[in-house]
Amino acid sequence: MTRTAKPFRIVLLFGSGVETQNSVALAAESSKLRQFLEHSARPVDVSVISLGLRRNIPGSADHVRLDDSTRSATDRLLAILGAFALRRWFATFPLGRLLNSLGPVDQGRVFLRTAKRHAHAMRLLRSTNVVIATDVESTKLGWTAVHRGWVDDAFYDYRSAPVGVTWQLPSEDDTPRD
Amino acid sequence: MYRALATANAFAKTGWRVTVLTATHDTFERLTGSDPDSEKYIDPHIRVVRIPYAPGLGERDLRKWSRAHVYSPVLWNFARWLLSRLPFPEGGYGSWKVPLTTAATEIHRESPVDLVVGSANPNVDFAPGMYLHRKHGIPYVMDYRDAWHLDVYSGKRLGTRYSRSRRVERRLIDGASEAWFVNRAIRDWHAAEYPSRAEHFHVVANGFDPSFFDTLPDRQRDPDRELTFGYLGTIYGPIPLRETLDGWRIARTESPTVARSKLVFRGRLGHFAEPDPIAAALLREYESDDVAYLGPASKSQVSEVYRGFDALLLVIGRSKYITSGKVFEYAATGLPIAALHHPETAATEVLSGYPLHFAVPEPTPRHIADALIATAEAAAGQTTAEVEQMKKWAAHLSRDAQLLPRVTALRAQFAPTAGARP
Repeated sequence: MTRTAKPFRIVLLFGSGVETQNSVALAAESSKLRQFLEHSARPVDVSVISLGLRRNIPGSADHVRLDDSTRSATDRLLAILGAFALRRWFATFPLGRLLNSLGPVDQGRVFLRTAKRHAHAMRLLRSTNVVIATDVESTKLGWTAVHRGWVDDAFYDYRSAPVGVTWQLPSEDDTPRD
Repeated sequence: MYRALATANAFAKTGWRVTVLTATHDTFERLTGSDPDSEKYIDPHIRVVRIPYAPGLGERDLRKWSRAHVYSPVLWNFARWLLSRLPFPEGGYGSWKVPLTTAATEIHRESPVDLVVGSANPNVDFAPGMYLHRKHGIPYVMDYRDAWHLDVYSGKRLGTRYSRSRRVERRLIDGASEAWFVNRAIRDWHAAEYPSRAEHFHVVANGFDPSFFDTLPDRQRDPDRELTFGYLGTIYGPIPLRETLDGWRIARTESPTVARSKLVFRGRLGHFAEPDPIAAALLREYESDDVAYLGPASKSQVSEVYRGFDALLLVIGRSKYITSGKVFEYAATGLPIAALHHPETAATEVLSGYPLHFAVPEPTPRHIADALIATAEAAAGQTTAEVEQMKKWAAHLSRDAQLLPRVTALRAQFAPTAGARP
């Protein structure tokens, strides 16, 4: 297959907010992303949609950072009511974490809402073949994307998170497009 | 896992016809990580029956996640954990009891079983033995690779004496022909808990697997050469990792030999498929001190990994109940060992008498630095002949030396007149 073939598009989701620790975990096992890179017959284009990911991923075709996007009315209201402050306290004990996961300030729901309001992120998702949720917080967006037919497949694979840290995308040396 | 592999092989080697009942490949991939290369060490006469374990757990394909799962992964996991305790009192694993006993019944129907060996944890692995014993009177052996109600790190009892899981363990032990433990301290703890069955408790220690070891390259005595210190094993919470890394930093400032050396960690970060981020971050913190984490190593790569090391770091948590599997392998390499654990740890007994063993009175950075400097000097001066001498000393620590006496005794007890495997 030549480089002119239509690329196979993958979007990595990093949704864990300020918690970036998992995304730099040293995973040595083969990730879903690596499998795609190694076995795809077409050239692979990797893009990123993230919330709270501070590092760059060299070689990625596009990186949509949702950090600075305008909060939804729901999120603004929840912030005024102190729900996010309560979430931080709840996160310190097991029952609190369970309650957090059920409510509107669950980080997965925040990430989903923010991405849905972001036109660029939505265009990117709708033009992609596969999304890979690299943390639990991004699984809701991945699940929604595959169930609404925005993408063909969606996977949860934390092993793809260390890309750009412990290993690099093969396109890194071509053109840094981030 | 390697103990279970060696146990099955030991039975096959002594003429038993062995069937291994285990989980499917994808179970290990999803949940614990796996070492597919080690499969080539399974005795070809062994039949392996694989059954799925909790197929939804660790599912990577989001299309297959249920609405409830995606709504709250935390609640979903908690609910699964609770439900799993209904058939067998072991959170997370209990739901495997019915598939296991069903598969065991089928195996027995196809070809009658003479003996069942359950290797735990998970402790639900003991369930098929008890089930076939009750239904068909088949004897069973409980092989504790760990302990069920003893926290081997703190030495405290887990749960109450009269909890459901304690009652199940008592029934299991009462019905078992014998129980195996990895060291004397764990065996004695169980003997005190279940005194009426103590005479059936045996120590079957771990050991090194000679088949995984090749020869080390020739070594020349050279005080100026650059050394590689190595750690091979699981890197997890209770080990004094930070103290070791701080000690390494101190040793580099005091010893030119250590200063021009590097420290390599190989092994899993934590006990699960997902790497432990705390250990990962800690190792990264010391990268500028020539500390490198190079990922897990397959058992089939063990020999190659050790060939790249000049000295070894034995880093274990403090507990008289912890031996660790790697101490046996370490001794088998013949290399100098910096034993960076509290002397109370059970590994001390294993290495007692090993000439190039540099222990610490306490795993503090200062003591660790001293041990590392002494180890570096020993490694720089070690010759191939000295390595061979150390390896001869370690021969008694081979896996076969631990397993075969019990396997042979079981054959005499349960299949004295049986011929060799067809």
